[in-house]
Amino acid sequence: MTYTDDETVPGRTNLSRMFDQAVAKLNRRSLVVIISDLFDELPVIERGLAQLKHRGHDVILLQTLDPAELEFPFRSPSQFLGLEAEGRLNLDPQALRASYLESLREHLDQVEQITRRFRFDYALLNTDEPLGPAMSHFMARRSASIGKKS
Amino acid sequence: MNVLTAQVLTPFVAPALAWGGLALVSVPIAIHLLSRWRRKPEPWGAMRFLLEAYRKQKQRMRFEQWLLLMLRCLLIVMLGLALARPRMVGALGQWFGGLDSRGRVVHIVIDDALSTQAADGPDTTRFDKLTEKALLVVDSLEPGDRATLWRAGRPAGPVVAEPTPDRAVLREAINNLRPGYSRPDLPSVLASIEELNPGNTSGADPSITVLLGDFTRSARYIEQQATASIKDDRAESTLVVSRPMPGMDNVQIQSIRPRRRVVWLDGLSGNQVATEVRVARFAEDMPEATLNVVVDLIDAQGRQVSSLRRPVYFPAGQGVSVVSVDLPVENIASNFDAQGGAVLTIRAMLESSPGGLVFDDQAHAVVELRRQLRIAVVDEPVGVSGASGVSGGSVSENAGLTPGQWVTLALNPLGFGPLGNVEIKTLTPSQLNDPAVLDTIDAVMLMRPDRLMNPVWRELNTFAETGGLVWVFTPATDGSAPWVSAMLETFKPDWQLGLEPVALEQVDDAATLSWGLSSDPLKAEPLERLAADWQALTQPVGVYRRLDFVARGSDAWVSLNQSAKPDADAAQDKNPTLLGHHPVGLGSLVLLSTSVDTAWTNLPTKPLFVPMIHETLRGVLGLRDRPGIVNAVAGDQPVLAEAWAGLSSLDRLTISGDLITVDSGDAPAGPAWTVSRSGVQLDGPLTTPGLYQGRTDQGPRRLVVDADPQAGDLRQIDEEAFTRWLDAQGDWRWLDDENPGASLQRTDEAADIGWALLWALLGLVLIETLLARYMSHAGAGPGGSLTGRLWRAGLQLRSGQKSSDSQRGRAA
Repeated sequence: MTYTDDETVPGRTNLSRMFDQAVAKLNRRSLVVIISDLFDELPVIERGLAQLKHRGHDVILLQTLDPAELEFPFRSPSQFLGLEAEGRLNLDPQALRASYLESLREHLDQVEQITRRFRFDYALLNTDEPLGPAMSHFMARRSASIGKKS
Repeated sequence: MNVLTAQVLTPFVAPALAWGGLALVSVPIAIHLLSRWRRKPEPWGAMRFLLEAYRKQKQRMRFEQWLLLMLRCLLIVMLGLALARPRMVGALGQWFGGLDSRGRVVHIVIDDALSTQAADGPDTTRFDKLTEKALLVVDSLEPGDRATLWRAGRPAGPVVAEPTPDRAVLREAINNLRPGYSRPDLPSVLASIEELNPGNTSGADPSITVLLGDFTRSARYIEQQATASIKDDRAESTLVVSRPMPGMDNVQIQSIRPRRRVVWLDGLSGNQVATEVRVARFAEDMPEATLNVVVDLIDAQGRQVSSLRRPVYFPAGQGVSVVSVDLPVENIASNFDAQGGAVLTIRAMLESSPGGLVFDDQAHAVVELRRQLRIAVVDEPVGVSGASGVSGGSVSENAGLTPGQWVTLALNPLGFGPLGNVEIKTLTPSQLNDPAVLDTIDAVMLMRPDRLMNPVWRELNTFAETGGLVWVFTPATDGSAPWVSAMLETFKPDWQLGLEPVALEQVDDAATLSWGLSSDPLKAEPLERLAADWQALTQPVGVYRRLDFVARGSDAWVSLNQSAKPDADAAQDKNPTLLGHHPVGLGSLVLLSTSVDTAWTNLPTKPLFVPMIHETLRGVLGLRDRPGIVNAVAGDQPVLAEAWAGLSSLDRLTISGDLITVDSGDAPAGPAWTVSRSGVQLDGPLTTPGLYQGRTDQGPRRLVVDADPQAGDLRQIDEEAFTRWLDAQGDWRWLDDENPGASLQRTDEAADIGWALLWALLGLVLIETLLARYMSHAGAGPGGSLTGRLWRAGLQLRSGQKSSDSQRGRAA
């Protein structure tokens, strides 16, 4: 089963609704694979993962970001247009790069910490990379774990 | 523009570039604004982090943007200003000017002429004020400056010629200066200073000439125009000139002129020394006035021989008056030397000093007295015929007398002994072959020049050069006269003289035509005592035969009418000359163009003949300065004649009471001297007026130095004319009389601070680069400075690459 937080690109990320819908529809223990940039508030992410944990679901969290979002390689003064109705921002990207990367890194670290706290699997991927290898890795680990128990 | 700003900024060398720089300030502002308006939108997913970072850095980023913008604007402005080469004055300009500080050469010129001795307050003279200013100028010299010191009183010259930075040397030289008695001569000082600075090129040290003077009307050079070359050469130098001082009235005894330098005490002149005293007054208003002058005749010991007090009358508006004084000579027998000569001093003094100067209220002159006039009459003895056989020593056709006898008779007309102590020697032409006979002779009267050999002519030339008189009488010979050629070749006079006599043709038996003597006013100075009777004396004289002789100008002492009577009064140019003169060294050559023969002229039988002979002799011999007597003006550096050879001392004398003593006061002694074959060359000028005595092997010699007659005019100079004169010298400005040192400070010299600004610009570029890199977080790339951007923009233009930013990293 596949859930997306929103079908259309324009609009705001709404992870809270996605978690609520998933918890409501999954009646038995399941493996939930979340592929998202997770650009939402950390409490929302924490509450959603907590719900899934409480219901006994297993979660693989693949956080995928554009390489530009990870490296912020811009040099020329640019106008940044928010995709989720945040408005426009004129700035000199080089002047803001360090501060931006620091904020992003802090967010990514906290997402990873929350995920690890619930003992879920977490991987940070960029959009240039295929999802397959990461998925295979996590799936293989689970198979191995089931084999040991049996 | 306030005063301070006006003092600090002067126009740019290239003002257009400064305005261009200001206009280009808009470029970085426009770039800044355009970069905001023309940014391409970047869709961005992680906007929340960007916003968060933006909120944190917003204040800092704005500050940095404004800082960089202002820095870049400043860079553009400074580039424009630097290229416009602003010139800055004032202390700031002085500091900036120090970046290009070349030492200056300051020439300090002090006027030490007579006029500066005038009082300028109690116990202070104008000269004191000038030296005070000079010391302040020396104190204001800046590090690196060098200075010279010049005196402007004639003869103007350097005191410290080599530019020196040593202020102590300059101060000492200024303090040792004393005012002189001559007139100022600034043109020669300025010319000498120009010679000292031949390389007035842009690379040479700048030069300032400080002229310190009172600038009275004695500075007559203001009427002279500076030559164009001086003005061009002075382009790199500046004159700083003290303002002319107020005018003063003054009276000056300009000169004493004895009518004759040698006076014969023979009774004919009444044993008097005839003297003219010239008195000048200088004042703006000249009402009618009478002053008194006292003229003394003083013998060698200082005793007063005679003293006369004479009024000097000045009609209204008249500045110069000449008073004639005949000083009697009595009881001076003890003063005569073995040769029968004596030297007396004439001193004229104003009885009271109504003028601004007292140093020019007296003057001196020296005359030589002679008791005996020694004359040689050279003629063939009676009975010896001439070369052409006309008369020579023959008396048959000459009223029973030879020419020599006529002249001897004229010298001794009373026939009972020599008149007026005239000693006559009669010589034959052949006796002149022995030059020694001339040693004891004052004048040679040549009746037979046609009998002289060429070597004798040369001896006579030497005799004349040493002060003797050679008087040539035309011999009564027919045909060509080769002696004329010998005489002209030896003495080289500026005469027109024919070789053959010219004669008037006999018209009838009843009347004999003749040339008459010109009745023009007498121009001959030696004969001036005859002027009053000249018309009467010349009227009866007729000349029938003569040489074709024309002397030039004032050397034609007695002229004939061009035409024979009755048209004799017609005044025409180039009248034939009867008696002509030619100066030879210290002596003279005189020619009578007719013969002392009644067949040639009736002159010997007329009343003119005797006084003409006597006055010519005394006048010519007294006309020229005597070799043992020198009259000079303060500032002169005369060459003393051979008579001064063997000079052992030169002392200034003081006439006090009945004594002449060697001056032992503070006045400097005369200059040193160098003895040469031609006489004595003084090593320096004679600067102090007064009476000097030189001791030589041959006895004492006298030297008189008077204050410069042109130096006593203390009237205020015409400032307009003075300004014109200064304009002709080049760049100049007035000296600040209250603060002379300030006139030399570089405050008025605008310093070119273009290079200083370029260095500052370089520093700002460096700061901008560092700031831009820091603010752009240098790890992100090759910096965001203006210069870096320009560099990258250039690369991009060349490679045609498009920015890769738009191709990368669009948000997910």
